[in-house]
Amino acid sequence: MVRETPVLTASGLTRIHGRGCLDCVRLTGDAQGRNICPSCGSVVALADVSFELWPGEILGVMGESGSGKSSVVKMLHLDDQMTAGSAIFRESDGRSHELAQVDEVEIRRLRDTRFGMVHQNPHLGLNFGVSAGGNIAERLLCGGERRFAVIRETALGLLDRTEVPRGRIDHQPGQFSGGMQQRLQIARALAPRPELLFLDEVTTGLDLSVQARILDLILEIQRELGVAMIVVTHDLGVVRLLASRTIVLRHGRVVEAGLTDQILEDPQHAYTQQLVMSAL
Amino acid sequence: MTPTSDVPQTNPGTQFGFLDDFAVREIRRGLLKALAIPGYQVPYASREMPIARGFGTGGMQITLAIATPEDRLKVIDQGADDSVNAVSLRRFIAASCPALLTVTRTPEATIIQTRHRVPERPLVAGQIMVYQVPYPDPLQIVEPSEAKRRASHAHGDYARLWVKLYEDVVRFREVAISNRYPARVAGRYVIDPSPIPRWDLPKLHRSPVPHLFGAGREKKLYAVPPFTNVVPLAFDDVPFEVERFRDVAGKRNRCQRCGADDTFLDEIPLTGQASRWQCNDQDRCSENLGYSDGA
Amino acid sequence: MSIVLSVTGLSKSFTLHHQGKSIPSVHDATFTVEAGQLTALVGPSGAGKSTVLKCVYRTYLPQAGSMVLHGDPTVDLATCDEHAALRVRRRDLAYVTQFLHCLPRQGTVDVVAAPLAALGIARDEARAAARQRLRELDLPERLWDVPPATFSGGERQRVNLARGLVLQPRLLMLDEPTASLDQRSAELVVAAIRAAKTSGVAVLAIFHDPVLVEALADQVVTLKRPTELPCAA
Repeated sequence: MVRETPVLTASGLTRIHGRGCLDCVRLTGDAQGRNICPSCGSVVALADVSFELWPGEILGVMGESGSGKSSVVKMLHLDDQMTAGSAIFRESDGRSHELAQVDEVEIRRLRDTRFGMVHQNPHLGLNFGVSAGGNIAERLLCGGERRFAVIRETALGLLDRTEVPRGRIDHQPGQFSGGMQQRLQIARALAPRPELLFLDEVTTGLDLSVQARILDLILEIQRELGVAMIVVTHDLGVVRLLASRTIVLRHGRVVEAGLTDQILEDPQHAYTQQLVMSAL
Repeated sequence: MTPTSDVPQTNPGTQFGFLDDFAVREIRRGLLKALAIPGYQVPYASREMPIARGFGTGGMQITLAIATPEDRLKVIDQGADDSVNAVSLRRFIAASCPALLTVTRTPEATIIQTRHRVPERPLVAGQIMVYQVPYPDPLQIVEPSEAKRRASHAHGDYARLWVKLYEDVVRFREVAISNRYPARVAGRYVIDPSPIPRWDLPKLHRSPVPHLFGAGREKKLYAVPPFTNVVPLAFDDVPFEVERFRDVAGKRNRCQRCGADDTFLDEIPLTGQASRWQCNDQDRCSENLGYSDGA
Repeated sequence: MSIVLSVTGLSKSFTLHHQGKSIPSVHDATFTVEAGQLTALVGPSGAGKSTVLKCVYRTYLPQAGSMVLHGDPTVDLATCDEHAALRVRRRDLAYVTQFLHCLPRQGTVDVVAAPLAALGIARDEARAAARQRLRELDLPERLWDVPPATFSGGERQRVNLARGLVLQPRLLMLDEPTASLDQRSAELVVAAIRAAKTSGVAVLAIFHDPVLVEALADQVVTLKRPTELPCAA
């Protein structure tokens, strides 16, 4: 059953920090080479970012620091509110939500049951005061599961899936290695069977071999569950491996968008060419 | 600003019930709101009382605000009418409320103020339970920020509390909470029922009387109206259980004084022999004996 | 014979912004590929042969021209949107280069079965089809569950080709499929290509060996090296 409508349609996503003025967008961006509006001092983290995410697809969001890539995820994961623009999320049951206008109750429901998020820093994505199993249980409990046996079995299954040894289910995340913490984050993110998964620099800072295994795992999960994903990274290797389509951000604007292999092998924009040439 | 309500004419401290009119009105309004929204913590301006915080000022303010000269008050602490704190509270309230009678027999009371127990004898319509509460918020153990707790209550998001229950079941195969067991009221808010033991929690469920909770130090009021569902938080497959009071052979312990085997018991440890047990609810124990020892 | 791919006036140049140069790669290429037939691209190195394949695969964006994949639906790969391109890559188009790109931990059968799995075909069915292809290319069974990373060049290339053929694509593109292969492996690859042609697959190929062109090509298209034109960024 192939869905023919996008899971997410983002149009004109804009996020301005500060009071903003009529010239903010015009005076910042790629051509101007800056994020800060010289007229009012506001920071234009994102302006006019548009893209689509289709079911079962992985979209790469690539950029360097200050590009706005993390802001994109914050807007869509409803951790922050966009200043302007629209983002329509369509669930598999046909319901559609304008993320720019959802109320608090809906925000919680979407974040708890429809979205999954994996952070670069495991402290943002895990509760270190609770066991590994407890972290996964928390998401199942948010979704309304009240049977202990089911919670326990599901948690064990997710740990198996993310290759965390079952025997560690009752250990604290603080006792895990970095790679295992990330895998626990992934397990936790997958617990409610989300329709949309956000991965924010999830392998940055990890050893290469660990990184490879986690990327591998993400691909396998994607193949198995068909979850749509947005992968934010500055690493060309990660984007090449995971994403079929990619957008490149600079100074809060989309400077290039296309098939990942096309962007990496035939970059059109000067900045993308520079990025690709700089890769080791 | 001209208040539209009457300005109190009497000086505070010489009123019936010690509290001035404004205080009484505020507490009563708070209680009405608490009853209208079962389990919701209503903030109020907890007044300075002549006893220190932590000794029952919350419960006392409720009693003083609702008492009339026709009421009959029972005050218990740990099930006993004659413990130091119960006596002090009872004396103060009696002194502040001329003509108010104080009693020890549960069926004779119209207001029962308590810390730590609910009387064993089933309550009847016309009675009011008033609880002294140290910590009104069941989420306090999992979330230190008051603002976040309020948001959690508003969203009915008790996941972090459930996680604590999960961790207990993993570690102990049952929930390891002995008193202050969190319970959901009217299917909506989860309350801390004050430090009553699990034994007493079922008494709140569809009870014929209102249960009023006052936290003086934390400045909150909440309530369970009559005939309201109060359901302890428990997994569907790990049911809530009360204390069993069974010895190692599985036999139910009995009160050494009255012989009851259906009350909450205090353990009296002895050297060189097995512990003895006695009813925690002093009045019930005496009632079982027909009040024959002058109680 | 039905035309599967018609390329008309295809031109591709690379604009290097930082160097202020525009490097032409292919100029005005026109040819067709028909079902069951092999069109060979020949020409000196630098003439843009690989570029043409990459343009058809949409790894490169052409500056001018059309690349129409006929069928249901008919798609101009030069102008279609990304999803159409991805759909074509999944179902109709297989591109086999000299390099085998695959996940490091996937066993050979799963590598070959992957394109079928991506289409939603049941795992067992996909793996069975994959095994069939590997058998046809004479890859020993003992290697089937091993990841291809440690294989010899010839073994890897056969896995690569098996993966390209397992889909039974409408158009198969081959970029030097026998380069650096030993005699026997090369023969197996040639046999597989012949079999593909017989089953109706349209093939667009680059061969370094003129003997293979002679043996397999039904049509030969010669590309010329375009002259370099410097221009302002």
